[in-house]
Amino acid sequence: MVDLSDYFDRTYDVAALREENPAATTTLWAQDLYNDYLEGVVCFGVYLVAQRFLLKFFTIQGSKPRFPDDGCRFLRLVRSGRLRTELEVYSEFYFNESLIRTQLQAEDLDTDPLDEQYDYSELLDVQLASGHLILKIATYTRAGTSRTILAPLPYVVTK
Amino acid sequence: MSVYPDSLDDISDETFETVYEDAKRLIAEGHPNASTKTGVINDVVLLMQSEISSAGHQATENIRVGFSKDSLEDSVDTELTDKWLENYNVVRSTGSLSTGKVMIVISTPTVITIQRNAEFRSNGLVFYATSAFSAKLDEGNVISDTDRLITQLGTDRYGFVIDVEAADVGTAYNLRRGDAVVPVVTPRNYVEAYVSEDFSDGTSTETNAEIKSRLTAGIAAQCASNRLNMLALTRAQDGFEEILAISYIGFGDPEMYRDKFSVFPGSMGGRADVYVRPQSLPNTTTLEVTATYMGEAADGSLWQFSLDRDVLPGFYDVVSVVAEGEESVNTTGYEVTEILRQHNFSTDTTYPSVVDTTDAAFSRYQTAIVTFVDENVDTTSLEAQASTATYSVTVRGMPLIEDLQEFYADRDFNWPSGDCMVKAALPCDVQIGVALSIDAEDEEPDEATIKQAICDYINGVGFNGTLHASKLYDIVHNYIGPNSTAESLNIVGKITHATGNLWVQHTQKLTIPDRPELGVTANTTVFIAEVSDVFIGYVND
Repeated sequence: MVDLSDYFDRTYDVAALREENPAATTTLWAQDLYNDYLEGVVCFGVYLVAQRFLLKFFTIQGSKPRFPDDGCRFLRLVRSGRLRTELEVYSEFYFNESLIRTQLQAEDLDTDPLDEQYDYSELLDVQLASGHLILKIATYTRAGTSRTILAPLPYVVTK
Repeated sequence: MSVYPDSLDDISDETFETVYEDAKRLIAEGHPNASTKTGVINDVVLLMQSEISSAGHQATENIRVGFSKDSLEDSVDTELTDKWLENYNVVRSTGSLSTGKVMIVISTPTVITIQRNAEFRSNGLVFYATSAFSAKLDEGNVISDTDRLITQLGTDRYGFVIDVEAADVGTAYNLRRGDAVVPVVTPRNYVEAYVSEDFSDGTSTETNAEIKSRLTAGIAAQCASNRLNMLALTRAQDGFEEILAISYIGFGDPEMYRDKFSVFPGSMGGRADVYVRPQSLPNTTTLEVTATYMGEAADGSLWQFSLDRDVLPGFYDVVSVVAEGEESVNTTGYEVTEILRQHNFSTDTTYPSVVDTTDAAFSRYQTAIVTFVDENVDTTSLEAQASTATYSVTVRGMPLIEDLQEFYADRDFNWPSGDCMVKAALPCDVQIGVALSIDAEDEEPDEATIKQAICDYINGVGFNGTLHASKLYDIVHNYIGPNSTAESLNIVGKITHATGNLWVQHTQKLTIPDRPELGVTANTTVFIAEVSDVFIGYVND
């Protein structure tokens, strides 16, 4: 349970993704920028770091004006149906995570609190089912804290 | 492009980066805990805001550049820059249409009418007949200005000349004598059509870089004082606004010989030579001359004729000499062996002083005795220095030399203690050879465009004295694919001076030799490049 004191003097951002069930240890995240509640939610700490990772990881490299190097190719491979086995998903995840790690750590300053600095992410589980590729990702900060995310992606299989 | 960017693509990354970093700095100052790393605030607020703000920032920058002499070349809004330039009496030349004469050759003498605006093409450029022209068989039927007499040019070749005008402004439309022209609708008995005299008056709309080069003169007071003042005064006169380059030679200059007239050594001052390049390329004019047979030569017979000072005043040289009635364009002509330059002041009440006969070379006072060898004529019945014959002669030179001399000699303008002599800038006619290596993945280059771009650059150099191959490489690379290269380049220059020619050659930079005793220096000589003198070859990888 967080209270107001947890927000004091912390770096925050507007939460783009909401945990469907905050009480659960592993939750499905949904976009929260445009919801039905007309309410603003902020995030900080490891939640903020996990959001940064997701935004970068799901940015297709070359798609962002002025920042052609931002992001990676993972989502492009998913959309084009090029990832057909779990092994391919694992392989591509870790290859692209290393790119994103470089980009996120370039944003972090040594003076930032450790739980606001990105350390790494790992792919805990992969499910290829019912037209979706579901990634279970754990994001770690340099303070050792982590957040686990479930990210379902619409998936197209090419033959 | 207007001051405000038409599209976000018109905003440079550098401008965006500046605005974006400023936005992040200001957010960090006002909201120190707001994250400016990847996230909603950064990606949705800061980046979007920075894009919009960049447009305003770019507009401000465009206005600053448009109002700055130093960065005038980069100005994107010509309308804004033009208004600012008006403060300095500088007006952008909007370009003019090239006009000229085209010889239409037919196989049978027939009455032909060429319609007004009949279309002609040459190297992709379009020209229109300026009027309806009627080709007539008899001289008695040539009544109006648009009636043209058909003359016999050779066996089964008859021709008449019409006037055409370019469809658009630009120096590219200045066709040269002999260039092929094709009518879209061919007249009866049509054989061919070609340019009978160099086209003239075609100028391009002035670029910011060109305006910058003459802005200093625009700011200067218009009076007969220092060089900038005189330049400003000259260009402020009607008809002289578009003169490309002027170089003033005066007291203390090594090229100045006219002020060394005293029995005492050294310069006495009070004289100025004004070397002018009125336009990119010289004009040619063709006239009939009466030549005198001078005797036998090793490979033919020697003939002489004189050119008075009103034949293309300040002319450079004789391009061709052909027998009367022959087509000067399609005939090689006879070899000119000597041009002896003299001067003629006989009809003037006041005129510039000269020390040597060649001091008036390339001025409006220049006259010449031209000697050539005719290898065809039968001389058995001719008497040396008495027999004469008519030849068709084509002469090359710059326009406006006479008009400028009149202006500089005007009593109201000329300063009372000296005189000015206007001369056509000495020509260094260059030939360029470029070897290209074209990659298989790249498109074939457009040779005509490359040649024209090279010539436009060379003809705009002014009194610079040096032609760098690196600049030409730069130009060529603008018109070839990214994987292709310009492998090598050779530049040859022929400088025509008062008493002969000088040849220069280099592969890296062509420099005008410093020969003031011949009148040849960087201050008197300009580079002249014709499209037909640019050669493009290909290197196989």
